[in-house]
Amino acid sequence: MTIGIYIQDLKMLIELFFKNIVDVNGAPEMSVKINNYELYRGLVVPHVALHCDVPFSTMLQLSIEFINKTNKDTIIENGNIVKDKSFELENILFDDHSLEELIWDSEYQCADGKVYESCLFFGPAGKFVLEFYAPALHWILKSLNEKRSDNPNWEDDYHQYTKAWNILQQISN
Amino acid sequence: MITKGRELAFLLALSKNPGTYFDVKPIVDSFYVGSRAINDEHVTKFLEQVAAETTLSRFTRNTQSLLNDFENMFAEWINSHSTNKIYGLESFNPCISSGTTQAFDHFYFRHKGRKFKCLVGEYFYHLKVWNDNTDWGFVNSIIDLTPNDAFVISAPFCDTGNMHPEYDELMKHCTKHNIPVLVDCCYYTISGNVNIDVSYPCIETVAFSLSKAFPVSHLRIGMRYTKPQINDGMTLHSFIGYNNAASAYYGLSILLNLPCDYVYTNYREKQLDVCNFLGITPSDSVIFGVGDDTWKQYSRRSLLAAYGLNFDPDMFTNRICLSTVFDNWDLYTGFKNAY
Repeated sequence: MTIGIYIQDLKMLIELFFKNIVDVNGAPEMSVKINNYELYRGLVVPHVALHCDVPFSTMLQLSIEFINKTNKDTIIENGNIVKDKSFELENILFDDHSLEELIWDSEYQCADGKVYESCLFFGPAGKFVLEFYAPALHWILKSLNEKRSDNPNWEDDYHQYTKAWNILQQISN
Repeated sequence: MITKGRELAFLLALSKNPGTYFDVKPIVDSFYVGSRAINDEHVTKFLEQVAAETTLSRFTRNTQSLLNDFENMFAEWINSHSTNKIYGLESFNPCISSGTTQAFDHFYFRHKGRKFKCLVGEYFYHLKVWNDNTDWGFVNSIIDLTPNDAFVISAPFCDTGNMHPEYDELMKHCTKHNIPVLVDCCYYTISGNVNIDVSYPCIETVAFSLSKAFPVSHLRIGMRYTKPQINDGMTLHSFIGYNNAASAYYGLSILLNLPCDYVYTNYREKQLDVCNFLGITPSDSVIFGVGDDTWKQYSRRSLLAAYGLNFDPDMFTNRICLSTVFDNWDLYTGFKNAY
């Protein structure tokens, strides 16, 4: 499925993995956007793959909004929540590359204005927000090295990997 | 420069392991390290055929003639190399050896009272064994070799794949001071235009292996040559025919069907091509090139940890193993043409 047409430039594959999807009064639904462009609207399923074109080298915002949560979807008995329409974000892949711990550099903006840092649980109505730029692998390598300081040659690696990948596509066709 | 080499490594790694940067990075980071044989298609098919044509009983009954034939033919095969010359091997006696390693171990046993010496850049196996068991030292200058030493040298030299420029001086010095010497010739069968004189009286052991020329390293096919006065456990096993008949079978099959200079003849031009493309210096051993400082990540530094050795990695030459490039020749040429 190819969703989204941007003025520029880079083709990108975003894969979202969800777990612990709990139905109450129907299944959870979400809207996935890059900036304000909606890539997906529909049921939360364990794996969603979204192709899009994104602008080069400008900050982008990935948002995953929980769009059909109401107070009626939280069942409370004797003061305890016994069932709640909810789901959890398990992983994000950008162009097949896992974000690893970068997934936690995000926030969950509740509809009531509260903001939770590093929250992958979709309980309250609201949206998960992550900022990055394209090419995504460049952002991943740069950000991971800022955290881990374990790959000082990450930028050389990025260019070498990308060039090799492009030539491999070229000579394989 | 290393950039092209890393790009080629990424491409070849991606071609075999389609996946992410993180999947292939560990492969790329060790891509040119080591010294393994080329997986030559003709050789591989031949070895498969040899395997298919035998049965277990070939290795368990009436093995004496097989073992004898392998021992007796090996020197003739070595001497048939079209560009290399080895002088003086005829005055040594052959024994089947498990690779070159068994020959090393017996040299260590025989000279356990001496201090072992080798040049910086020598095969790490020696360093590992000596470090754990005995007194030893590097030879930084010829005067570091003294009368109570025993000396091991690879020819061609392990660190570069070329003959060590001081080989003859070192042998003269060892002869003068009665220092016993083992010459490790495991790169002989992958090299060209190499002359090795093993007639120096100090040399008591010369060891060969087929592991670098052909993809048979796990069969441990080797041959040791020693001066006639040496009579040890290996000599005994040779005499009573108690050696590994399976490795002798494969070894003899290679001797009978593949020339000693097969690798050099078939890969020298390819080596020159790759070295020119990558900007590295061709070694006399065709699976290697020697890189400048930008290639230091592919020196044998990554093997130091595996051997449990704690030396300055900058002591070693940036010896680049090209076998994986040769294994993927079509992709290499595609990459080169598209570059």
